Amino acid sequence: MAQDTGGLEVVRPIYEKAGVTFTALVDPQHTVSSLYRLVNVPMGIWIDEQGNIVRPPEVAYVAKMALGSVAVDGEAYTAALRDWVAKGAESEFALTPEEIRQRVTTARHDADTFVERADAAFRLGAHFKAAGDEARANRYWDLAQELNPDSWNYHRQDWSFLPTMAETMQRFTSKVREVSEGGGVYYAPNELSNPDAEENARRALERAAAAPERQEPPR
Amino acid sequence: MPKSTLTARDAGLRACRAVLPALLGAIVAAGPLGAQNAPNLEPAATALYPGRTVELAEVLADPNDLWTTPEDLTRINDFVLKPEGACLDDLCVPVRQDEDSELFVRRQERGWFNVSGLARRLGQAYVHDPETETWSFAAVPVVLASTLESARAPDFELLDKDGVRRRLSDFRGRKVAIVTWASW
Repeated sequence: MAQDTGGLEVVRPIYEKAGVTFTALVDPQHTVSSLYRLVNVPMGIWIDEQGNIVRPPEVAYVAKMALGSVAVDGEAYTAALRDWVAKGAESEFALTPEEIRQRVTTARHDADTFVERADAAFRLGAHFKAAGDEARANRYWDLAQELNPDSWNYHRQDWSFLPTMAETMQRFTSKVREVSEGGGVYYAPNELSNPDAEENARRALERAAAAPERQEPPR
Repeated sequence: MPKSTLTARDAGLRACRAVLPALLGAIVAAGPLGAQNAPNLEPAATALYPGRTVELAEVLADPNDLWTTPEDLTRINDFVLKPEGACLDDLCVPVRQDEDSELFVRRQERGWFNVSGLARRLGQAYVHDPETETWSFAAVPVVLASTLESARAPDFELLDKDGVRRRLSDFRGRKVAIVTWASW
């Protein structure tokens, strides 16, 4: 599910190139982020056959984020997901209603009026963006980012419209650095990651840093 | 957003003031609104709610609040105006309707509901762009909290990659894993 103001036009070619076989959605107003309080991508939510949440929103797949590079640790997340698909409520990864209530209540207490106003402001900006009213889109996206600086979705959707990819990456990496130096994290760790994920991610990043510049494969 | 919105509203106001000054004065004395509450017959406002964009053909002119018909209230946020109040399932916010009140007024023999006033009553955040009369509302906190705390997954409808509308609730009877991503 794409949290993408660009809509189908931007998202469809990526789905087609990936050859997806699952239900592939596009969410230009970030509606699902509003309803489930998502602040980053990728995040995952598991819902059972009755429409009940069995794992509330959490970071999916990613093990570690370091200054512009993402280390993907899909194995642990995928294994947990397969376990739940096979065993349902008996899976150790399906949370009990009480565990879910605790997580959700904690999240709700963290949320405040600023976060809620930021949500309204972001969708107002997205509305103007879709209508081609750049000045108003910028005004309300700036407001959203001021009100809730913890939402990476707001920052990154906004920065994706900077004139060059270099500027986008520059804003992103400097923000990640700023947050890291303040003791914050880009991705809050989930409990599904492999205990070795951090070490694996560090190695993967080292390998990536040592490797020559990545080339597009020949067509 | 058409620039004509403001112009049309101003024109409507001027016409109304010229024709009905005495009557308006009498209504205003009793009501919570200022003198400027003639219905806007031009596409008056737009309301955003998570997953919805609602164009409003008529609203009362008021710089501070969004007054819509009771039917439009339901289009925006599913609340229904009943004799006992504005209700969403079992939740009802009392609304006095036998005389003008903070949430409800009669103008030109029709009832008008204060959607932003209801939002304040519910602690629901909103942001208003006055120049284009666009109102963006966050989810209703008590509704969001009750669905999340009961672990009910809030429903939504989005387009899939082929442009087909898909609702989360269409997937009842199957397990669903939602995973978000983005091109940015």
